[in-house]
Amino acid sequence: MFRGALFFAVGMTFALAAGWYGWPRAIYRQTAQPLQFSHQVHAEKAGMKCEDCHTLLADGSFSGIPVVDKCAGCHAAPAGTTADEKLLVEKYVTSGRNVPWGVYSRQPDNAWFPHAVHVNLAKLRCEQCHDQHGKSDKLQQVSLNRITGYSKSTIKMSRCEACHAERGVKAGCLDCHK
Amino acid sequence: MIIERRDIIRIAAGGVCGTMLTPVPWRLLDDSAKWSQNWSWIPPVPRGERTTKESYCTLCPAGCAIRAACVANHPVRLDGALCASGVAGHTVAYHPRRILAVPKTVPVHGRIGILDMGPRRAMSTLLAQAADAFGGAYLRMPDRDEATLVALADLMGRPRGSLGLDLEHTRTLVSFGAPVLERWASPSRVLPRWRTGELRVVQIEAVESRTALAANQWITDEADALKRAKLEEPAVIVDAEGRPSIAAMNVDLGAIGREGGIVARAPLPWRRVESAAAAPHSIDTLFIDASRAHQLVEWPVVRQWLASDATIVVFAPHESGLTKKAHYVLPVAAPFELVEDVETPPYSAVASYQVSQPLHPAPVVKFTAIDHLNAMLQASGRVPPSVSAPEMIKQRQELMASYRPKVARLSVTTVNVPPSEVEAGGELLLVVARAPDRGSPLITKLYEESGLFAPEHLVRMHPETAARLGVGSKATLLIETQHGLTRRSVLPDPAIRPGFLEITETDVTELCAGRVTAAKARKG
Repeated sequence: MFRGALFFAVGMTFALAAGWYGWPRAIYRQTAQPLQFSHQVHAEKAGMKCEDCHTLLADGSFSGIPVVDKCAGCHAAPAGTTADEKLLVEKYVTSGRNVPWGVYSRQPDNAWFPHAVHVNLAKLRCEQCHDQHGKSDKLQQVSLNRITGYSKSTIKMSRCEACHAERGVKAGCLDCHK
Repeated sequence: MIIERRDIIRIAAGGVCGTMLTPVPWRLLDDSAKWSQNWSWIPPVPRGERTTKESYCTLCPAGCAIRAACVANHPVRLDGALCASGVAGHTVAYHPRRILAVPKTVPVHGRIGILDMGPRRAMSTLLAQAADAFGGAYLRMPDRDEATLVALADLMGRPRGSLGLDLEHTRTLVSFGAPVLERWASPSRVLPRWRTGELRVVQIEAVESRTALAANQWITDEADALKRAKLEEPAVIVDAEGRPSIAAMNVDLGAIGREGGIVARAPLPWRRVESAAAAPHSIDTLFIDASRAHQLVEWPVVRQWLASDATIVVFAPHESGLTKKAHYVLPVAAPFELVEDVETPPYSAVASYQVSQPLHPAPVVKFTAIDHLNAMLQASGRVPPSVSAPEMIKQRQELMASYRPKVARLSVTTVNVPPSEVEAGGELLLVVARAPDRGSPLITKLYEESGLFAPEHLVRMHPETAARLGVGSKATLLIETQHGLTRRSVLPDPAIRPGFLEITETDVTELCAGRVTAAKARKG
């Protein structure tokens, strides 16, 4: 009896360890960004605000990650001495090719998140969802789920629900899932 | 310690139980669902700037105005007073059975016929010119649009197309079997006014159609129907079959030449391309331009034109029932991929001309039917039409810009109705099409020998109906609907409701257009 329980416990412990420790690490693949970018330098030294690059368009839609033309406005030629800036100018700005940034917050196509409503109407600050990303000096690697292809940092529905419940905002399924 | 087989089973059992207490199975379910949303063959949702484009729908001659919501220049939603097809019109370009491959050779032999399924477009003029260049015939299906107005114009001795219906001011629309709340005329002219109660619909139809169910008043029997109908003036009468006897009721009702009734319509400033008369079995190669199916293909009519070894070539954006009948299918642009035009919607009170702009930024297929035909004309050493489709549309636009029509007031107090039509209007037989279902191949023989199997050469009817028609078992019956003719062998069957005929069809659009349809039957 004891022997049986022991082997059962060994199997169970191994599965629990693999499932809780090994699996979350194995399911994500780490992808480096094509070049480094310092939000801190742009925010503190250049005095830029989030909305200078991540703008809300006139129709209420969100521009997301800026296109290379936006970078070219200041970086037509290298302004500093970093290798990443040199790479930006030579590889992307000169050729007019957009930088293939890895997106930390890409939502599935069946989920619709209107930035305009949350920023303008609910007066949420960028940091409330994106933490201190705007003050970071270095871009983290993007952890992409090997099965779905979505980032580990993608906001989950439970977080949306918790925030809505906290603020007493009612939302039906079709408000977000079009 | 010696590890036995039972110990390994215990470890495995513990592992399974432990796994169920980890996120692994639940995340796998969730992740695999998300993975299935991103399969490579599923078109991704475009991301980018949101814009709107104004255009016209070209799926049918109604030419409804549309406002397309676009993301990254791709249409994602069509708004407007649209029918179900119109709302989803921008998705046709992504049809899962879109035709992309062009066959290497298409044999062109004998007398050529070009069948235009979307007549009155600028393309129609070019197709007629191509038919001339081939020395062949430009063909169209019989004109079923505006059946009532055509019948009335004939009775009044006016040119066809010179009458319109002032639906915007009509209070009661009396319909003899016309699907006025489904796919009739322009949905944007009928449905909004009907929904708000500005337009009453009285449906006179023996069958429980969708229009009959939704109508404000449904009368099942044609006899004295007008006396039972609650008419609020101005009222107008339309008939699905265009029977002169019913069209002429508009004269008695005083609906001619008044607001909310039948009014005069100015012609457009170009000559309408008329269909050539094709002798029976005279066409050896038939080209069908099904890029815009503004009309139904009446296959019995088409079959009469074809020689026994005729080749059928269909121009279509995607596979359909029609392409199954083709020997060769050539790809053409889908709706909203190129500049197109639409002329005067059926039953419109005024003549109009709409030009649609492309909604899709880069067409998957850039060819049109005339491009394929021009290539064949050049390959055979003939001279193709000198004008392209966009140029023809531009010429029409210029003509319209300088056009100042004059319309005379319409006034009629009486018309002469042919007596034979009045007599024929009384009988109503209905045809129910049933697609052949051969069941499982394992029980085919059993099934075919059972009473469930309905061979395609039979028409089933109640013995009372057979007696009324004066036919017995195995007699040959000629059945005619507005879509065409068929010849069947009679099989009396008490299971069929009296007054109905039941036939088996491989393609229900041939005789019934997918719905129960009025029919006439005679020995033959």
